[in-house]
Amino acid sequence: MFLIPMQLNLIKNVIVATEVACLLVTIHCLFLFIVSMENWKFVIIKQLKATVKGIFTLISSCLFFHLLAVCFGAPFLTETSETFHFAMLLTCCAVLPAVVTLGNNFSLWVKVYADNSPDIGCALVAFILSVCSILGAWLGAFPIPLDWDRPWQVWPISCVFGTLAGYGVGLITSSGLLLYKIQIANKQKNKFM
Amino acid sequence: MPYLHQLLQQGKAIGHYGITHPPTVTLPRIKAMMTGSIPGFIDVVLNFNTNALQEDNLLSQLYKSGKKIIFYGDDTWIKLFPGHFLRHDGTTSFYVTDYTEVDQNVSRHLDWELRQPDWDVMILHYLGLDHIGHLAKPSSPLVEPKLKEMDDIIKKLHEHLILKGDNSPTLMVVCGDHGMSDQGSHGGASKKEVTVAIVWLASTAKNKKVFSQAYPSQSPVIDQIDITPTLALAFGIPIPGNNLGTAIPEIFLSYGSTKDTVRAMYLNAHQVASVLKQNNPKWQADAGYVLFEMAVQHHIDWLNFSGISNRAWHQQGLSLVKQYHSAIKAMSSRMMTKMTKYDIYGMFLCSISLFLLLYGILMALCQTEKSSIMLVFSSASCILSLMLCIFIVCSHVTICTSSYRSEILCNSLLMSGVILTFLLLSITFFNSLAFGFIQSIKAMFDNKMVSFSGTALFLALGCLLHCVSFMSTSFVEEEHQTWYFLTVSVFVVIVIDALRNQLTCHRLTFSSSLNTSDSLRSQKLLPNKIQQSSSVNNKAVLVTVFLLILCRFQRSWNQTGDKWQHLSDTGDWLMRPENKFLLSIVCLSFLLIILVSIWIHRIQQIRSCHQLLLLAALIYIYLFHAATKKLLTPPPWLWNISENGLKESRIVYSLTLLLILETCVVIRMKSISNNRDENVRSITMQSAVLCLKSVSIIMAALLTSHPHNICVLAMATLQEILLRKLLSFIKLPVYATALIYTWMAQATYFYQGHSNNLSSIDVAAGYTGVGRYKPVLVSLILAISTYSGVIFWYSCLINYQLKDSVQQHKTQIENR
Repeated sequence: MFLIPMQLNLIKNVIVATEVACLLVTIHCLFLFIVSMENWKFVIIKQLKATVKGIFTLISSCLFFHLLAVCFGAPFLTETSETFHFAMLLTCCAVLPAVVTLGNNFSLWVKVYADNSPDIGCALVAFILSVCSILGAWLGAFPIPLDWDRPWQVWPISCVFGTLAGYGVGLITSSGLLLYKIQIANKQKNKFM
Repeated sequence: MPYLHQLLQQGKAIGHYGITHPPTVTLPRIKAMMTGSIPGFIDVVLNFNTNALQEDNLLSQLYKSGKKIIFYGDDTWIKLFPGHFLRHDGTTSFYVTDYTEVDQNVSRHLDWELRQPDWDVMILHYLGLDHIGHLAKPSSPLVEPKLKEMDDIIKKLHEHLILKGDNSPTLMVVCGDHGMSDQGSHGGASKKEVTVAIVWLASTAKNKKVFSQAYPSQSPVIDQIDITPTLALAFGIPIPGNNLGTAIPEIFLSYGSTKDTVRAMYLNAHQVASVLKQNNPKWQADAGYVLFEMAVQHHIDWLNFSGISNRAWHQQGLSLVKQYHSAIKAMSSRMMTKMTKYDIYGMFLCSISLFLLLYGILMALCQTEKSSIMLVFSSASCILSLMLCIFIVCSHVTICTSSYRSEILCNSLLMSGVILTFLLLSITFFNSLAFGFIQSIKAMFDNKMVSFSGTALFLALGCLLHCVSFMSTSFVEEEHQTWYFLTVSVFVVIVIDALRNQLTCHRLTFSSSLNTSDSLRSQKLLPNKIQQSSSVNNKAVLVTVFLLILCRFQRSWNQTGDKWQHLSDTGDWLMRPENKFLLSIVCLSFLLIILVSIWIHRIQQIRSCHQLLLLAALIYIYLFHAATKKLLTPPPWLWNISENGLKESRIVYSLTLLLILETCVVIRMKSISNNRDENVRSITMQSAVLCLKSVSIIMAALLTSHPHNICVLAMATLQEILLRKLLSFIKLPVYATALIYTWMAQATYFYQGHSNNLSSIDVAAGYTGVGRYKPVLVSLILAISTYSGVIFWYSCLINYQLKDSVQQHKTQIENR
């Protein structure tokens, strides 16, 4: 525990810890983005519009998650900052990978999220990441009503932790699944050859 | 309470926190204080109907030793101890809406009684504060003047006692029978409910010094039943036989010598030890008993040995007191753990049969008519054998595990025979079902009939989660959280489903050139149908958003449960006296919403008569709440409200009866005119259900002591309309709709401020329109008021299913 500086302690300092977690997830997603790009020289100039659209998506989804958390019972008038930070983290974990990998290609979004049939590759990773983080956030709310009286049983600590845990689980599962699917694809290729 | 506080600070009185044992209801508490034992939960039921106490108790002992007792207050005492009192005047405790008269009834006797020389013991039981709690929560502005009144009474009594002087040393005990939760109710085991104040006031001035210094108090926390042996020993009468309490040495030290105190503790310990001997066969090995014997040895030594100085002797005496004290505590805590016995065998049997029942229901659910199943039994014989099983189990449990246990019927041979029969029967029965179940599943998979939507899957998962959550006590206490979370989650899942459908539709419209993968799907859906379903999904999303918002509002209306009970909610805010105007406006508008939402419901058969009756009932509901001074009263030229709302509430009752009567007449007429038609029959059914719905709403709105709950009801009616809309957009299987309605019913139960805690029952609501205590009527009204929300949602469910079946019938006819 002492390796973690005081500011980053999730229990004692939720907001800063959440911000740092957001930052880490964002960096990770951008890394994903760089990996997925084939020729990223023209990317930013060419797809300025797409970038703006993506940022807009992120902001609106952040607001959406905030309101959703309120619907699920988060305090509305008090602890607004905590709720908003949680929404931000959820956006980073669940929406950002998709924005980064799918871009503004609407039909791709539909294919991934409505049909649940993402292509093998980054789309699959993004899909699994978003599902796992949202599930983790949902499950994170479970221990709050228990009467253990622990300091982490407070909104939004357990949910933040659930989101991050879900993200981690998502990464592991998606890498495993990718390996598995690629192997199958290779086998089929071999068969055809 | 300035006077009492002053006494406590000056050391003229000793204050304790008394811990009571649940159930924290008046009757068990009085029993506990008088007998020193711990009554069980069954006394909560008996609370409403009191019989004379048979157990050995303080008052009987006092009576036998010729003391004269007078009593004023709660008439539970008079029922418990008939003939014990020299003079008495009881007030009914169950008429909770009155909080001034009950206390005046007690106080008016005081002046006269204080002048009478003939009594030895005076018991006063004031009810006002408890009633205020029930009526208007402990945060109410009514509490302060009431406490002042109580303080004045204590002052009066205490000053009188001091005036009488030292020739008749008197002890005055001020104590509460139970605490009060933040909602103003009691019965449960939360900290606020079990903690009471116990104050010992000395009559004589000379005790001042002794009280504060003689015995350094070990802790200010005592058991409530500690009062019993203390009082018995103080009077010099035998301690009640079943007492488990520990006498409080401070009190004796302030009055008698050290020797007397040690003697008193010895008597107490001896009595508790005899209780231990009766109940524990291995009493000699008990740690508490060993302590007791050691203390007795020391006691003998101490009495024989008086060579040392007076001070040291006194000190030794004090340590003896401590020894006895800890010995009694050890023995009584041992006894207390033994007192609560659980019938493990009976519980085991019952839970097994419940599980079997669940299993059976699940099996039956999976057997759709379409799948071809060969059951070994026909359904009639299934039901017959099930009934037989239930009958056998029930009779077995009553005969062998309850208090009516019969030794002849329950010897091991017969018992095992019964169990064997039961097991065999159930095994054959359920195996047959399981056989059918496996076959039906096979058939379902073969025909590819299973197409679980996300919503239906989530509903099943939610039920499972809810069951699992009961393994933790805190999830039982906070069950409302489970329901709030699950209802919101299911709506979110519905939204996601709808959105996904819509996105798919979008894509289908976009991609005019059909790919190979999409060809299957597009063949099913024609273009115009796609358009239609897209707009339908849009609407579904919109409706769900409104539903979610309403859920959130209702959730913030009443805090329930245990953990966050202390947080203030919208209801508390509205109930503040300065917000009375706002509350009235809100209640009026929400009553209007209820009215409109039931009128909207109009199909061809809702009648103007019904509407008018409903309107009148709602107006009188407002007037009733105005009469109980919670809402603004209308100007007198418009309506002259009665004193406590008796008239208004009775008018509402009669209007409700009229409503039911009218529905009955209509149904009768319809069924006479043509009883062949399937459609008409279902319509009459529907009007009956509609009547039930309005009645449940009226009752719920009337029978609440907190008018802000009207808003919860109004939001529930709105939600019902929205939900009906939503369900018409998305097609769900029957069990899924039933589950959603059930979940909403559960959530509404908690939205209304109820919880799994006994204390959240709104006792005051049981007395609307009832002048005095009538057990059957009051409990009936209480039941209706508690479950009104649930009744409402279930009637809505029936209504929905009926309508659905009518529509299906129609479409079938059209198809032909």
